[in-house]
Order: sequence, then C-alpha cells, then structure tokens
Amino acid sequence: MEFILFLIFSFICIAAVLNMLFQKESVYCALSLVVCMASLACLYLLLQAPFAAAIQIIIYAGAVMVLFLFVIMLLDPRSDSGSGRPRRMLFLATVLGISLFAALAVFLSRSQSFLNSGHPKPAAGQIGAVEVGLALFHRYLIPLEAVGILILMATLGAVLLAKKKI
Amino acid sequence: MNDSILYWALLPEILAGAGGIFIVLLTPFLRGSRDRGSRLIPGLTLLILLGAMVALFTVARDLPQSPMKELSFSGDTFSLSFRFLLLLICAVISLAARPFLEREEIFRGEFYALLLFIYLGMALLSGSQDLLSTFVGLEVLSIGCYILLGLKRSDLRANEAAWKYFLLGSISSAFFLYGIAMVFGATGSTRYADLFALMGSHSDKQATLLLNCGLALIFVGLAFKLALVPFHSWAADVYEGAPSLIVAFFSTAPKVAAMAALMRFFNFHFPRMHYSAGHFAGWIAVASMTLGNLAAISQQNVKRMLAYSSIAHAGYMILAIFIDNETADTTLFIYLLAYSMMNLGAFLILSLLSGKGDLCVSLHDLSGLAERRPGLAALLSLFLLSLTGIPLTGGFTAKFYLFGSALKNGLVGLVIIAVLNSAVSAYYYLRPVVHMYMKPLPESPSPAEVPPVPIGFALAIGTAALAILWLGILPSFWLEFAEKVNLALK
Amino acid sequence: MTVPIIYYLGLSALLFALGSVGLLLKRNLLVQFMCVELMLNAANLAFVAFSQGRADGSVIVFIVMAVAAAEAGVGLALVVVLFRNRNSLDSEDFRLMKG
Repeated sequence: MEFILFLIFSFICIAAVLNMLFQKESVYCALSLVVCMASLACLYLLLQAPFAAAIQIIIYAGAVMVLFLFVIMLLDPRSDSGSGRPRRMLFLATVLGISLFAALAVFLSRSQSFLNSGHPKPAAGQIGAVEVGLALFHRYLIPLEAVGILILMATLGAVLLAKKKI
Repeated sequence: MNDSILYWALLPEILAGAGGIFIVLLTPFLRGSRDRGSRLIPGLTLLILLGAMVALFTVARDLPQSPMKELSFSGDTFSLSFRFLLLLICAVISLAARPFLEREEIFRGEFYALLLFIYLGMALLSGSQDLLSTFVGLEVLSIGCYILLGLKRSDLRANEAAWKYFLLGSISSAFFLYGIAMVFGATGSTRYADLFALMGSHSDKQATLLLNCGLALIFVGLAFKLALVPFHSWAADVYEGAPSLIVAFFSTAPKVAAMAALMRFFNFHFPRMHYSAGHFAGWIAVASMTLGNLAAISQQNVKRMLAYSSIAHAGYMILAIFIDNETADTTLFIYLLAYSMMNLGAFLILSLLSGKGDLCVSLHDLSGLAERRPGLAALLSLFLLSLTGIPLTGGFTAKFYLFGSALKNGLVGLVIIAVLNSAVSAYYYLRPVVHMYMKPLPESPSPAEVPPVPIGFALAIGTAALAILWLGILPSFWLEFAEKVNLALK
Repeated sequence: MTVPIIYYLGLSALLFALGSVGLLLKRNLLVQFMCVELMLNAANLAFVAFSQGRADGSVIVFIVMAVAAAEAGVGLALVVVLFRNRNSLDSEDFRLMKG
C-alpha cells in the first residue's frame, strides 16, 4: 500500500516538474511547482514526518509560492518569447542534468546497503511538533536565533529594495 | 551551565545584534539624509562595533579552558581572532560609508543595521561547530550581500550585478545544502564533533563514500563564496557593476568568513583530507592562482583587474588548508589581515576616484594622478605594492609566512607555482603605478576633478595603510598576537 | 510493504538534477528562481529521508524553509526592481557587462 502511494505521489511530483520545464507562461510554472510541493508534503507524511509535511504546505506551497504568484500578477510579464534557448544550450542543459543525476544516483546507490542497515531505527513513531520543538530549542538553538535575525534582515531588505518611495 | 558559557562567548554578537535592531527601530524617526539626526547613525554604529571589540577582548581574557565541543558555536581563540578581523573590516567600512553613500544618493540608516547583521552571520560562520549553523551563517551573509549589492536601485549595472550574484549564490547554497544532507545521511548528525567521532570509529566504506560526496558538495558551496576557479565567473561582473564602496566590503569580509569556515571544517576536523580530497583542493588552488593572474593581465578596468587578483589571492589562501594544525591558524590570520586591509584600501581609493555616479576607473584615468593628488597616488601605490608582495609591506609578510609554512609541510610543488604566479602578478599590479607616476596628465578630455577627501575616508584609508605598514615593518607584534591567541588553547 | 529509503533519495536526486536543467533552459528570471526553490526542496526531501524517524530531519527542514522564505523575499524584491528598470524579465536582456 505504502509503495503504491509512493509511486503515485512521486509520479505526480515528476510530472509537475516536467510540466514546469516545458511551460511557457510563468503562472503555469508557478502552479505546477505548487503541485510538486504538495506531493512532496504527501511523501513526508509517508516518511513519518507530519510536522515537515504541514510546514511544507503552510510555508512553501502556501506562503512562498503565493508570493511568487503575487509578483507574477503584479508585474504581468510577457510570456517567454517563443524561440527559447538556442539548441546548443538545450543540449548542454540535458547533458549536464543527466550527468548530475547519474553522479548523485551512483553515489547514493553505492551506499544503499549502508543506508538500509546502518542506522539503528529508533522505535519512535511520527515526528510531530513536540519532538521538533524540543530539538529546536535545545540542540539547534543557535541556528534558530540566527534565522530570526535573517528574517528581520530579509524584511528590511525587501522594503529597501522594492518600495517605490523610501 | 553550557548555555551560560555559550551566551558569554557570544557577548560581542549579542551586542552587535541588539545594536542593529536598535538602529532599525531608530531610522524611521530620522527621515532623510540631510537630517542632522540621521548623521548620528554612522557614529552610533562605530560605537557599537568598538563596544563589540571591547567585549571580544573581555571574553578572550577569561575564556574557559574546555573547548566546548558539544555546543554548536565555539568561542575558541580561532574564532576570536577572526571575529576581531571582521569587526575591524566593518569599522573601516562604516567610517567611510557616509560620504560615499551621500554622494551616490543612497544614504540610508538601514545600511548600517545591515552591516551589523552581516557581521553577526560572519561571526557565526567563524565559530560554527555545526553544519546547520554554518549554513544559516552563510545565508545571513549572502542575503545581506544581495541587499547591499541591490541598494543602488536606479543603476542598471548594479541591478544586473545584484541579480547575477543572487542567482548564482542561491544555486551554490542549494549545492551546499545537498552536501549537508549527504553528510547527515552518512553520519546521522550535523555536529562537527559527532562527524569526527563517527569518522574515526567505523570504517564503513559505503558511509565514507557518501561522506566524501557530501564534503565535495560543501566545498563547492564555499568555493563559490571565495570565487575559486571553476566557480568564479560571477566575480568580475559583480565587482564591475556594484558600487565601489560595497565592493570594498564585499571583496574582503565574506572571504574572511568563508575562509574561516573552510578552515574550521576541513583543516580542524578532517586531518585525513590530505590524502582523500587533497588533490582536488590542490588543483583548485593552482587553477585559481593561474587563471586569476592571467585574466587580470589583460584588464583595462581597474575594478575588474582587482576582481581577478582577488581570485588569485583566494587560490593562495587555499594553501593554508594543507598546513597542519599548529601554524595554520596564525598564517591564515596574518594572510587574511593583510589581504583585507590592502583590498579595502585599494577599493576605497577607487571609490573616491570614480567620482559622482561611480563610473568605472580605467588605467587611462589614473594617468598623471601623482601630479594632481600625490597623497592618493602614493597610498594607492602602497596598496598595489602590498598586493604584489613587495618587502616592507604587509603583503610580503603574509606571503612569506604562508609560503614558508607550506614549504615546511612539504608542499614544494604548490609553493613553486604560487611564487611564479606572484611574479606574474607584479606585471599588472605595477602597471597602474606606472600610469600614475610616469604618464602625463591626459590633455583631452580633461579628467574629472577629484573632490577633497572626506574625513571619514581619510581615517578609513589611513587605518588600512597603517595596518599594512605595521604588518610589513614590524610583523612580530601581529605574529605574537596571533600566536598568543592560538597558544591559549594548548 | 515499506518503501526503501533509496527510492526517496533517487527521487530527490532526480528533482535536484531537473532543477539545475531548468536553470539553464528557462529564460524568465522568475522561473529560474523557481528552479532554485525546487533544488532546495530536493535537498529537504533528502534530509527527511535520511533522518529515518528522528526529529533532526524535520528541524533542519524547518530551518531551511525559513531561510528559503527569506531568500525568496529578497529575490522577488530584486526581480521587481529589475522589472521596473527594464520592463522585461528575460535573462537574455541582461547583458550589460561582458563575461
């Protein structure tokens, strides 16, 4: 059952990404990325990480991609002018992508048996907000504080850069 | 208990962060650059930076003896010395910033807050003991730099530079992140200490493979920030397009921080890297030196030339990774001190010479500068000579110690290539000097008048020149400083 | 039947590679930036898959998302500035400097 669900959602995810690559309108690209992110959230659920799934929907699909859509609507750019990239670039991109994938896949598959056996699997069930919160405020306190500063800085920067009259 | 040690070690950063937030809150009440109130902010920033420096020395005096391996941030002597250098760079920039920003009509109080926040990210990077902290520190640094580069909104070249750096920067952080994921998969932790312990304990071949792949990706992410050769294509364009004063900051501080992170990760914790990935890093160092120097020769635009020269310098710095633990920190610290001071000085003078609108300075524009402005010409020559590595300048001391301790570690081949490269670099560093002193003033069109030097600029350039000369003529002070800092832990 | 971890990792590697292909293929700045977001998502999937029932993976995902949101804010602000100055989002139009 789990395997079938995995197949379904990974298929949706890959199809959405391929659609994004071949779409001309940027609105459709953004929407297919939303689909991809939503199916990734389902995969997180399969991996016993409901907290990650929830924030994937809330932050990524909900906030970041909506921001993208807002900007697209605001600017209303003309669609990609039909010609696209020159053929040489297309070839280069394909070769590069295949080789990157092949390299990563080889490294990962070489260590396959380690990944399946190496870690003692803890009996703990799902990773919910409680476990995440405990780890976040103990072990990962410093990165959390730094992220706070980072978001303040990004807010400041977005206003400085984009506001018409400061 | 651990928490109180951590907060004590982070006292300078807490000060800087609180100061930055205070400035953010203060700026809405001080409108416009002509307002007297907003002129307070540069002074306030300087005060905060000096306060952080005092705090740094206080913390350094009663440093706990245990190296605090289990925390995600270490306030050890290595990070102390680098944080001192970062504070110094920020102070020099905030001294010179106001006249430049007012000339370009982009003076905002928020600039100073951004500077303090970026310092925070860089300090985290220099003391991080956890890959996740390193990632967040790197992002604070990069996102701050994206904003600084885009600050001059009306300038098309600056926009393009900012976008280019933004896109390539976020790709490199994606690679960095994937590398962390692989290391995390191989060892089950992001703590350096845990990685190291796991590396020692089980010699599982498959785990090592995954770990090495992750390390390579992490190296790529940091190599981008340092503009090492296969990942350098952004450097020249970004340096050319961005406002000169911001380039002065941008070519020094992030390199110091990224180099500190690279050192902490690859030299401290993976001594065995010499054998596995050493060749890879060695080739990158050679390629950066050689290509950087060769590309710099043909440049007419002085900013582009300095961009390629900084690529070459990053190549020299990589040598420090191969030096073993005892002397590596000292050499790297001295090299980065000299590098950042001479680069700061050179770019600050260029941002003065470029005049309103920040047009690019070509070699031709420098002709006859010695007649018109003997002081500026002499200082620029000092910085260029120091970049070459002429004796009695800081650049010489730095190169001498770096190459010397690399030789002690048996890196003969790399040192020979580096010395040959330094000889080549003399050609393009000395060309502007020749233009300034030997070429006559151009008749037509008459060069733009260089305005009198604002006092902040004079102080900032003076600090950089003083540091260079001090390091060049009396290096023992700084060596003792750096060594004392390093001995405290042993 | 449980799914082996390697399948998830394979999917994440595929998404990462597709994201980098998209960066080269697309000319629209916004879409290029979306491809970077896709690469970050691929890394996140790898984190969750590797963490195998521990909290660390979710924590890292949380922090990465916060970072990505900050990056998106600044990046989109840059896009808006570029568009105001040029009235175009085509990366081929941005060739003021050589190299």
